[in-house]
Amino acid sequence: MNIRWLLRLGLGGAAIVAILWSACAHVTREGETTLVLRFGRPVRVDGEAGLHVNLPWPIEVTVRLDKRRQVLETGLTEMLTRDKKNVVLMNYALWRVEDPLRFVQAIGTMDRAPAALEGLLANAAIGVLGHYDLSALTSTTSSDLHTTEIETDLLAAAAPTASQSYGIGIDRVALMRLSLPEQNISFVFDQMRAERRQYGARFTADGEKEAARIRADTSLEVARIEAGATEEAARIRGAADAEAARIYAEAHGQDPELYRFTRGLETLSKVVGDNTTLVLRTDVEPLSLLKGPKP
Amino acid sequence: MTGGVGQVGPFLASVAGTLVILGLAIVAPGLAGYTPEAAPAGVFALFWAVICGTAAVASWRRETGNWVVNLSLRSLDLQIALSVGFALASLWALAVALTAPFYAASRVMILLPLALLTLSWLLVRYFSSIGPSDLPEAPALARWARVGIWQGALPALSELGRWWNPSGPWAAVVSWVTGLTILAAALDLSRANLEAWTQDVDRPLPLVDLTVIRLLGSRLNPLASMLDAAEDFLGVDLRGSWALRVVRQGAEPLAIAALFLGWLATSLTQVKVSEQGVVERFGRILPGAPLGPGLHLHLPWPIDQVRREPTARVLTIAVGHEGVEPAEPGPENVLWARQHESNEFMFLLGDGRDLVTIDGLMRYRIRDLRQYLTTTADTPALLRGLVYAAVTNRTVGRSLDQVLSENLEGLTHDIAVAVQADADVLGLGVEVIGMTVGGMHPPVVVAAEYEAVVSAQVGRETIVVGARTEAERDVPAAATAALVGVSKARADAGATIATAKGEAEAFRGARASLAADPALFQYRRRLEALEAGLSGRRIVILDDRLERDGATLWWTE
Repeated sequence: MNIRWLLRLGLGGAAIVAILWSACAHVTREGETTLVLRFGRPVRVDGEAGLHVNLPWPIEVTVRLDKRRQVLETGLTEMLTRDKKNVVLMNYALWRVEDPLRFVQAIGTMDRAPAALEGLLANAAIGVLGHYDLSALTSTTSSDLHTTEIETDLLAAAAPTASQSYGIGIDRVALMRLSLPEQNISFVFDQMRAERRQYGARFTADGEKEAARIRADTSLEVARIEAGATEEAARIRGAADAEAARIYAEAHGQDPELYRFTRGLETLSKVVGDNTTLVLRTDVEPLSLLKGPKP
Repeated sequence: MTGGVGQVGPFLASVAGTLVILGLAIVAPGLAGYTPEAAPAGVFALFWAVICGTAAVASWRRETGNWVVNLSLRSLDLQIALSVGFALASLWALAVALTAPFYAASRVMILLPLALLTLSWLLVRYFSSIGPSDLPEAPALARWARVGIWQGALPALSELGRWWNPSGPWAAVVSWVTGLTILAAALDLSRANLEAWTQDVDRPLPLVDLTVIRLLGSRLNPLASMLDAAEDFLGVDLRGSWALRVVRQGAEPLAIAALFLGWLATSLTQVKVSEQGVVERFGRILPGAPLGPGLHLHLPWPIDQVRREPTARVLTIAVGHEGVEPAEPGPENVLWARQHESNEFMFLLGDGRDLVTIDGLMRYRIRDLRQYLTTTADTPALLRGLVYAAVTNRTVGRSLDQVLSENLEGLTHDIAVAVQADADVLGLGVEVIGMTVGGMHPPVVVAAEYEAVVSAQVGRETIVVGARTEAERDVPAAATAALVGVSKARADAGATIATAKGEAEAFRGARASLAADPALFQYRRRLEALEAGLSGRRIVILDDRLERDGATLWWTE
C-alpha cells in the first residue's frame, strides 16, 4: 500500500466520520436549545450547551431554537383611548422560547414568532388603552401620567396567552413611540402653525408698542428741552430789555426835552418809508431856500 | 434507416432520464428555497432534460421512420429558441446566485444534489454500455451525464462547506462554475445551430454532441477529459509531457495534503485589533478571559469555534429616524427645515397636541462579550428599543417649548444613564458611552413657522431699536436747538444793552452839543433828519405863497 492509497484511505475515513458526525451528533450552543424528534415525536430537549448524540436522519430530527432573549418591535398600531382620542402606539417586547416543544408545535420556527406575537400585542394594546385616557400616555401634569401602569397591564394582558398558546415567555412590554394618526397630524400641524403665527404677531405688536412708547418719551423730552430753551431765551432777553430801559431812563432823565426832540427826529426818519410821498411847503427849511430873495 | 425492438431500450431510457431530470429541475429549487446553487443546477437539469428528450424523440422517429419529414425544418427554429432561452436562463441563474442575500435551507437539501449526482452516475454507466448502433447519441449523452455528476457534486460540496463555515463564499464559487458551464453549453448550442440539421437519421444529433460537453465530459476527471479533447483536436497527447506527468502524479497527494492542512488551519484564529473572541467547545463557551487581538491556537473545527465581536469599536444606534443619513462631503448641516432622513419619526409631546422630531445617536460598546453573545439574540435592536422608550418617557411629560428650551446635555445624560441601567438589569454586556442629539426641533413641515417666530422676535427688537435710534437723534437735536436759542437770546441781550448804552452815550453827546449852541444843534439835527428821511423819497413841494395868495390846490393820486 503506497502513500497515495494511505491518503485516499484517510480522506475516505474523514468523509465517513464527517457523514457520521452530521447524521448522529448535534451541537447545542450556549443560548440555544435543541428539540429532538423521533419520527416526529418529541423525545427530549437538549438544553445544555455541548455535544449531544442522536439517531441519524430520518429516525431522529433535531430542531435548534435560540433561547436567548428576543426583541420584537411592533408595528404602529392605531387605537382609541377611553376619552375617544385616537393615538398611534409602537411597543417593543422582550420574549424568549419558554417551552420549546409547545413553541415548535404552535409556531414552528423562530422567524414565524414575530407575526404571532405582534397580533397578540396589538390586541393587548387596544384592550389596555381602552381603559386609560390620553393624558395617561402624554401629559405635562406628572400625576396624570400612567405609562408604567400601562406597560404592566400590557405585559399582564399578553404574557399568559403567549405562554399557554405559543410556549413563549414575554419578559417586558414597553412603550417605544407615541404619535398621532396621519389624518390628525395635518390638523396638529395646522394648530402648531396657528399658534406660532400668534406668537409672531404678539412679538410684532410688543415691538410696535415699545417703539411707540420710546417715540412718545422722545417727543416729551424734545418738547421739554425746547420749552426750557425758550424760557431761558425769554428770560435773558427780558433782563437785557430791562437793563436797556434802565440805561435809557438814566440818560434821558437828565434832559427830557432833548430826548423828545432827538427821539422825534428818529421816529420821523423811521416812519418815512420808500413809498412815502411827502408834501412840503416852501416855507419849511431848508426848502425855504428855494424861494430866494424877492425881486 | 434502422429499426427493431432493440432500440426501444434507449428510447425508454431517454424518456425516463427526461422525466426524472425535469422533475429534479422543478422540485430542487422549490425544496431548496431557491438556494444560490439550486438556481444554476436547476437550469442545467432542465437543459439536460431537453437534450435527453430530443434524443428520445429522435430515437422514436428512427423507429417510426418519418424523422426527416416531420422535424427537419421546425427543429432548427426550436433549437435556436432553446439556445437563446438557455443562455438567458443561465444569466438569470448567475444573477440569482450572486445576489441571494442568505442561505436558509436545511441540511436535508444536501440530498438533492446527491440525487442528481447518483442519477448522473447511473446514466453514465447506462449510456456507456450501449453502442452507437443502438443509439447514435449514446456517447454524447454519457458525456452530458458526466458533466451532470459534477453539477450535482459541486452543490453538495458547497453545502458541506457552508456547514463548516456559513459565511464562506461557497455558493458564489459553485454558482460561477455551474452557471458558466451552462452558459458555455448554451452558446455552443447556438454555434451548433448554425450547422444544417442532419438529413441522415443514422448520425448523432448535433445539439447533443456539443463541444463544451465533449471538453468537460469525455472523462469523469475533468482534467483528463480536457486532455482527451485536446488530443482529439490537436492530434497530440499532452499526457506524455514531463511537466504534466509530474503534476498529475503530485496533484492528488497535494490536494489531500492541502485539505488536511486546511482542516488544521481551523485551529488558528486571528483576532483583530478592535475585537475580542471567545472559544466555543462543542457549543459551550470556555471559561476564562476572552481572547485579545492576535493569533490564537485552539482545537480544530468542529470541536472548537471562535466567536469574535468588535468589543473596542464604538457602535451607534440612530434615534429619530430609520437608517443612517447618507454621508455628504463636509460637515453635516443640521437645519430644522431640512429633512435629515426620509423616514423621520415624530414624538407626541405632553400636551397631546405638539410633535417633536429628534435626530440623535446613542454610542455604546461591548463590555462583556460572554453576556453580549448569550443573553440576547439581537442586542442592537434591544438597545434601540431601550433608547426609544427612554426618549418617549422624557417627552410625554413635557411641552414643546419645554423640550426645545431644555438643557440638552442634561437630557441626553439622563437618557444614557437610564439606558445603561436598563442594559445592566437585562445583562446585555454593553457600556453606554453617551448620547448626542444633532437636532431636536418641530417637525419639518412646521419648522418654517417656528423660524418665523424667531424672525418676529428679531423684528420686534428691530422696531424698538429703530425707535431708540430716533430718540437718540431727536433729543440731542432738540438740545442743540435749545442751546442755539439760548445763545442767540444772550447775544440779542448783549446787543440790546450795548445799543442802549451806545444810545445813552450818544444822548449825552447830543446834550453836550445842545449846551454849546442849542439853536445850531437843533437846526443841524433837523436837517440831518430831513436828509435821512427825504433822501430817495417822492417829494411834492408847495409854494407857500399860493396859499397866501388865495389859490386852491387839489391833490389826486
